Amino acid sequence: MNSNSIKVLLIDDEVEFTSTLAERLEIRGFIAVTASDGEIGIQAIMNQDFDIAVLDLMMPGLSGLETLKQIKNMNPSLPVILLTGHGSTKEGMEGMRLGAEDYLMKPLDINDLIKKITLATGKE
Amino acid sequence: MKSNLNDKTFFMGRVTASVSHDLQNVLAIIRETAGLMQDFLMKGNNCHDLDEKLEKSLSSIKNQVNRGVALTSGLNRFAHTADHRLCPIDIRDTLERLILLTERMAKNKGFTVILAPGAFPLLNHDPIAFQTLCFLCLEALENTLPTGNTLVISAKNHNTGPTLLFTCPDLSVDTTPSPTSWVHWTSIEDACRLSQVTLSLTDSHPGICLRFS
Repeated sequence: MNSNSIKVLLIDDEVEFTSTLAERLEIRGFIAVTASDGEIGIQAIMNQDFDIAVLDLMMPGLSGLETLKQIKNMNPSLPVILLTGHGSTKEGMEGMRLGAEDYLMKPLDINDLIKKITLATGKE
Repeated sequence: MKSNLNDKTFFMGRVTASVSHDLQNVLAIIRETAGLMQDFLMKGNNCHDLDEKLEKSLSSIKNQVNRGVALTSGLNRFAHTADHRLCPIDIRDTLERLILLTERMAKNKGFTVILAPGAFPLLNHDPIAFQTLCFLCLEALENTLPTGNTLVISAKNHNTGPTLLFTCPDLSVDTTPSPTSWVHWTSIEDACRLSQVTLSLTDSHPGICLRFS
């Protein structure tokens, strides 16, 4: 980890998924912070600076799309990548219409995620 | 017992969408955990507590496999309930499976659904129509009542047949809007009319009462 590390916020109610993904990203030099729902994620963005947020669309409480809208209201320049467990691309496209940079289907390939993170942040 | 084909199709679609979404999550966790184990092994001697980390990862994979098995077994048994148009339904067993398969939908709306303790009678009816009606009742309440509550399904047995109650015991009935504005209310009324089920609202807490005959 160095001062150029990309700081990623992972927001998903599947805690085991985010904790494992965070550990894998950290092994690859990222700084990863996890949040188990949309409200906790928004709170984290209010209190810390992130380079990017990775957000699951299907969550209890504040939905993924509602969380995305609030993130973009607070910090329009923060890139957001969406994760979806839906078989169709409809929700991901809807998220991109609302300002998300990109989306990925679950289960994801970490290399695809890293490519999208570096592309969206412009950092290597 | 009859119900509208559109309602049955809607119900089957909702259940399979919810379960397949959960299975995607199960597979996502298994894939990430397997990937993490590979990361540890690639570090080799530089990985502290390698055995402990691998053991923890294996345990996580086993838990997710168990979660996936419960979902696919439930889905398989659910699919086979369509094998018979009319048969004796074990209400407790059927509702336990329905609660498992629709857990994510309830959770997304901020609800927990539980079965009350005690005996649930048998019912001779169309199993899919029965489950569709129960699902519509749960969704109607989950879309109407304030989130963060528990819905309880209980049963009573009468001479003429069983009565099922879907209630929210933590809320007062005064806070509930008129059922005519509830999601699915018209479908619930239609399904009850077709199946000769007497539909009413519960008295002390917000909820729905279905009296089968």
